[in-house]
Amino acid sequence: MSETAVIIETIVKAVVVLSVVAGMGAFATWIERKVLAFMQRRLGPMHVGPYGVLQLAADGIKLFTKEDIIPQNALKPIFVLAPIVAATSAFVAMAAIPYFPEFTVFGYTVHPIVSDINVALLYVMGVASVGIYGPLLAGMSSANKWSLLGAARAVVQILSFEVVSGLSVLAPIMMIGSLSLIDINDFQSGGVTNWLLWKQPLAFLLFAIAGFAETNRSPFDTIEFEAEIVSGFATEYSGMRWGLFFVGEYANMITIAVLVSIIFMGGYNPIWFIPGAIVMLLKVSFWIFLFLWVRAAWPHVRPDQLMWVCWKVLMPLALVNILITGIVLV
Amino acid sequence: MSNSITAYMFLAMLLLSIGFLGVISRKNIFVIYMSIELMLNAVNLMFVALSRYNDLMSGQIIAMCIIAVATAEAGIFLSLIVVLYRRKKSLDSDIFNTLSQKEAL
Amino acid sequence: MYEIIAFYTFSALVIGLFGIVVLSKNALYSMTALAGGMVFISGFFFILDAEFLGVVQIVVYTGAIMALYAFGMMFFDTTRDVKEDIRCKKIFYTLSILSAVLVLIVLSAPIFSANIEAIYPTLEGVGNVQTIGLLLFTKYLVAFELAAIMLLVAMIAGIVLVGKKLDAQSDDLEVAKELK
Repeated sequence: MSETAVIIETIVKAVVVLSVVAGMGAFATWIERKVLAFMQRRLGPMHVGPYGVLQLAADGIKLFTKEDIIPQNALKPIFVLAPIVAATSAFVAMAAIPYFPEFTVFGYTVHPIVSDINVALLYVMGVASVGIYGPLLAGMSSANKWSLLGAARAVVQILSFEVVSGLSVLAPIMMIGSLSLIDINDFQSGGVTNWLLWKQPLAFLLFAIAGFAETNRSPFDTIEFEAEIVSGFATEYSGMRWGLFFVGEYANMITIAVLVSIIFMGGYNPIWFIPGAIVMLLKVSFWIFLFLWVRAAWPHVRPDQLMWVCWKVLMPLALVNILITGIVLV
Repeated sequence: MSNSITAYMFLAMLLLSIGFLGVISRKNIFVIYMSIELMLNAVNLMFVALSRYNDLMSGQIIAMCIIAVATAEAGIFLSLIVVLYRRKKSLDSDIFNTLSQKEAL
Repeated sequence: MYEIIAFYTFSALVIGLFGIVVLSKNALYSMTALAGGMVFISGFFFILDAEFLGVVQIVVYTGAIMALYAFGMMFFDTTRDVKEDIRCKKIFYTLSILSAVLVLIVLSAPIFSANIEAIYPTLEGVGNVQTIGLLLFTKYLVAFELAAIMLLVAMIAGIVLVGKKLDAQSDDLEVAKELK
């Protein structure tokens, strides 16, 4: 295949991934409201469309037509840039993630991955870590104390939990010997018993906790906790700029769900008679549901408790886990 | 692409001179520090380009060591800036002249 | 061909962003531009088949160093420009730009005159993680360990510098000075 064909194929794939994930992200907002409502014995959105499904469209129209406010003392270029950074970094991270097993359409084999680089896992985590520039720049350019506090919390929280997630994912990488997510997936082929979840339960737990913190979901959503710091870094934002932050957050959630499914839960290998693609969808849906479930079930934690748990409990555990894995492997 | 190594080297040197311009012309110590980082980046780029075109991995290892040095430098420099700011309440590099002859007590 | 297009696009972006770093009056603009420029530098690393280093560049430089640095900037008011009173502006700027151009000429003249030829212009399979790992833990083991020790020392130094005890001491010094 010539270079141009590869480029065109990559662009098509990127557009497909972008639109599908953005759509899923928007749909996830409706799911979140519904699930939370049912867990709290409410109905949730009911008025627009059947069971309130069209609430999405209503929200979209509202966000697009809302007045776009930029505070007088804010640094305008950076204020405008921040939400774009947040959304972009969330989507760019998806370039190296394989979603489904490869399949054939009209005699043409499709690899459902935008770019198969051999440092995929590091790449995804690195680009996701660039996502802190969204809250950071938003908070620093807004000229608002709540924004600044939110940005400070964002940096502290995400940088700290980056350490935990990096260290916890190191142990599975040591066992597999490759950073490519396709290799990681192939390592677990052959049924539920081959999942890395059973070999690395501690790493799985740590990675899941760090994932909750990095996507700033409750119980770790200290970044924009309404009761303490109005809306955190997003206090001064309105309309579509605020919507971009929201889209970025949901895209990050999907990324984490896909990553956990691939690294620890067998990826897109078929189970019994269920084909791989459906297995993957089920796992990702389960993880999204878990995000909502935890949000409904657990109270917030304080930022200092969060830091305490990160540096004094989770990080030593991750180190011990790496040490034990190394000893067992040697 | 026969002379692309020259292009990479020239780009690296250009970035280095931009960083140099920052170090000598700015007075905000934050920006001076960022210019130093920028120069380190330029050198990194040169090492990686050379290692690619000479088929030697050593260049990449050295670039990694430079990144490690930059990390250590960032930590120390940041704490230095905080200490300096606490003492003088300013970021202007002209104020930190305790050792100069003119301003010495 | 796409490699050349990518190279020139990244070059223009990096030079533009780094220009903002150096010339902007506001430290927040500088920081944002520098973070962006570092991401694009990692783009060069990807073109040069050094994927691992490219990712390390993103993770360490953009994700950690610049974020840490931005955290430091929160101590100061970043939305205001920092005044830099420079006497004899014209002479100052002429001299500094002149010296930068001089550095550029001095450093890049040998490159053009030596007419460096690439020994292996295209080579497959270089730059993967295994090769770096092997080299790092055999030939460059001492450098690696020294880097680790250096990071530890830097961490301790950072903690000691901004730690509360030293702060109290400096406060004491200031109080003593005022008493004098």
